[in-house]
Amino acid sequence: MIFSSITFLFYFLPIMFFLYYIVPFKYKNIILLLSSLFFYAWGEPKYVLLLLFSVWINFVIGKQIPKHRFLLYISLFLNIGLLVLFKYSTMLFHVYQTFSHSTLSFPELALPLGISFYTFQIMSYMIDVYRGTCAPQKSFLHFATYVTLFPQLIAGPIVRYTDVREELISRTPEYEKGIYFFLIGLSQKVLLANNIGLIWKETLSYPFSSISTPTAWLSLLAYAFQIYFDFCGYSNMAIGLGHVLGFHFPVNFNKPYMSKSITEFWSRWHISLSSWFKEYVYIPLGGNRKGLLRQLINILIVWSLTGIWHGASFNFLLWGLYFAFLLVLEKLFLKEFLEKLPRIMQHLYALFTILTGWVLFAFDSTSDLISFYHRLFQTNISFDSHFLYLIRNNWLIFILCIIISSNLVENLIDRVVHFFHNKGGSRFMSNENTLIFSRNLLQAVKHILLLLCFLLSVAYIVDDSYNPFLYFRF
Amino acid sequence: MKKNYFFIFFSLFITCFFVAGIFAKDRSFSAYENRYLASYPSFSIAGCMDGSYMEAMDTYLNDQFVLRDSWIRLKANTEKELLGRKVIKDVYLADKDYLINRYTEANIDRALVAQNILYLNEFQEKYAAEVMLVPTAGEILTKYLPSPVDQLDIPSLLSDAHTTIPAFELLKEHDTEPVYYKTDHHWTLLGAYYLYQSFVPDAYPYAATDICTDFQGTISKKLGGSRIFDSMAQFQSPTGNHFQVTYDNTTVTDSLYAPAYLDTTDQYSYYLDGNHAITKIENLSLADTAPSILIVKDSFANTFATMLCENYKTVYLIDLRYYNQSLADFIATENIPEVLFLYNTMNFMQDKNLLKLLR
Repeated sequence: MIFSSITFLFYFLPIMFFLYYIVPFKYKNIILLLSSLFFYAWGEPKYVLLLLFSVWINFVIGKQIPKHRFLLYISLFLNIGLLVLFKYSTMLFHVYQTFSHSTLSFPELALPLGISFYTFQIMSYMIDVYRGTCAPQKSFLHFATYVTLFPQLIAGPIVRYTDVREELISRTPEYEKGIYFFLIGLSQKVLLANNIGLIWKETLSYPFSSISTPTAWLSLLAYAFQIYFDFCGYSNMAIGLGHVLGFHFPVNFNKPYMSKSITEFWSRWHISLSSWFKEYVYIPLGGNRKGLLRQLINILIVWSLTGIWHGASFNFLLWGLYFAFLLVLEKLFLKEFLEKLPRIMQHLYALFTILTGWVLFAFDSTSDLISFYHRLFQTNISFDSHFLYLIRNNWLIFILCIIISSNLVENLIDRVVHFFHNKGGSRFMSNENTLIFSRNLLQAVKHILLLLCFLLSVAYIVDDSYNPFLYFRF
Repeated sequence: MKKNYFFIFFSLFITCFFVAGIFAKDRSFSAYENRYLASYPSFSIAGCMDGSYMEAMDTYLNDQFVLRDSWIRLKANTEKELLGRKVIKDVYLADKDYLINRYTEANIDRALVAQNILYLNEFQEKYAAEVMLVPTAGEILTKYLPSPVDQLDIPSLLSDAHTTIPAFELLKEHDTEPVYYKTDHHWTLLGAYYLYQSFVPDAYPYAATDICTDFQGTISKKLGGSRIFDSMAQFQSPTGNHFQVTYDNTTVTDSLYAPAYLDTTDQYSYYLDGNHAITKIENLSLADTAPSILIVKDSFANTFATMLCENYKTVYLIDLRYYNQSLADFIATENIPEVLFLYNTMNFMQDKNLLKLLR
């Protein structure tokens, strides 16, 4: 089931929440587990068994880890093994085929929804138990609830066991905050991501040889916004639903396109994934504590894994390596150099490298990749009718995307408020009151807009418009 | 006290629609969208296992969502008024309420286009056929299109095709008249008339009666309905309206029209009962010496043929999508002296059956 559907919003949610709130607390996790399994099975009826198997076997092994520490390796082998089998086996087999010229056939396994997310959650638990960071969970119900929790099951954020350990047993729902986040996420996904995604979709349908350079850049920008708002929107919906249930999931995106370097970008983009790799791969490998060379190698390893995590295809590996390369450069000298430049130059550098990186992310065919890069960097620049057409019909969406993915408007409003504050308030109110009043007014405007966005989102969902699910390869 | 108005609004909202959804009666047909809505899917274990039941359920819940038409209207108005879009779902919201399809590279495969042109040219030489490629509305009504226009340059794509009748130029001369529907991709009877007029030396003058005024065609459907309606017209037979129409060599009727379609979503099939592999129209008022003609065609010919049969004893229509015998044999057996190829430009570029032209 996806969040942006009538089934989820108007059937699953009311029924689930009704059941959840009428039962006494000790049964709440049962309701949560059952509804999560239902939620998963709606989109992935067969692999729900794989999910349950994963949960059960790791629960059993996890309990024994404090006594038999070698079991961690068995569990890691098992989890990574399942991930490789279901996600990477086809790709690995193709590699084998190319080198051995074998004509053997291999059954193509469909990728189980969310396997990369829940496997990583399980592994965080196993490693934390091994490290003694937390005690093994004794209740199968609690453990299964943690792994399958429907808000974050199929598209993250990757919640670590230690993040929610206590909340599995006792938690306080925050309804208002939760719904607020959920509606923000829903609007980001349905109104922004889906709409701007249409531009990218149309460009892909053209032969790349006919695309002008401005069109190529505009389309790439649209793709960057689509993937950000889609992913960030989904995370916000998950975080919001978590609050409503009483769970605190980690923040996953923090205005990544406002970064001034790639190092900063990775501390703002898909934070739960990068911090997972940092915690369980980068630091155990020695991090930055074993000399510069080792640190650079570690960066290379971590970002190769980050890349390939996003899909079983070489372009994702390339995408990871591209960032590894930039991160190494920044570590060595680039960061120092950049920091001497004006801030706007730093932003431009980051945006440029992030955008060109998305090309690697978008195409798994080498020829498409090369010809699209060729379009981006050809010297013949003409503002053709296609470009003007795209601008004419989408300028407002672009502006909204820019505003919402940055903090330009917040900064502006802050300045205005402070300006009036410093001026000494109006004739009718004292200083403090002006400040409070204007903040409340802004808050109210924001909230009304958000409710309107919710209604519009429903309209866009009902009219069955373009509503893709982008994480099917993750 | 903490205010929970977001939560209250949200929960009330989804609860109301949930409850209303349970009690609301299912609609089988949406007049606004001019299509049948999904009905309650039947449950099966197999459907659950492969997920098709859940997909059908998603579609069903979406189609039957309470106030569906209003939601769709809200979206359409948002796109138009708030976002100021002039093109929605590849449909131009053109001047004078015209809804016009926008075609782009995404709609064609250049290799197929080149192949089809080769087939057509060979066919044209083989039978010395007349060839008429009817433009899409977007090619003719350019002055109504919202700028900047960005669409396929269809005339240049088809410049190598051996067309014998300058349909583009002829329609362009009448681009201020209603030669296309506002809500459908077809040309109107009037549009077809101008080509009839140029095709037949002693063409009859235009005389038509409206047979319906609530026509909403394919483009309107694509947008999920609109408030724009077209009228459909029928040519007044100057020769006495004595016809015998045979569909697929089996069904025989005495009318060029199928009024039953006017009450369905497929009103355009009023003309010549929609699509058939082979249609034979005999004008009983004409002498046996009057000529006969074969039209290899798509649905654009259906209006055209209702006028052409006033001047021809027999008009054969063959639709290659459904016709699987040899065209050469047919022309030889029936001893047909004249062959016309009549296709819409876009249909021509997309058709995968044109190999059959040479059979």
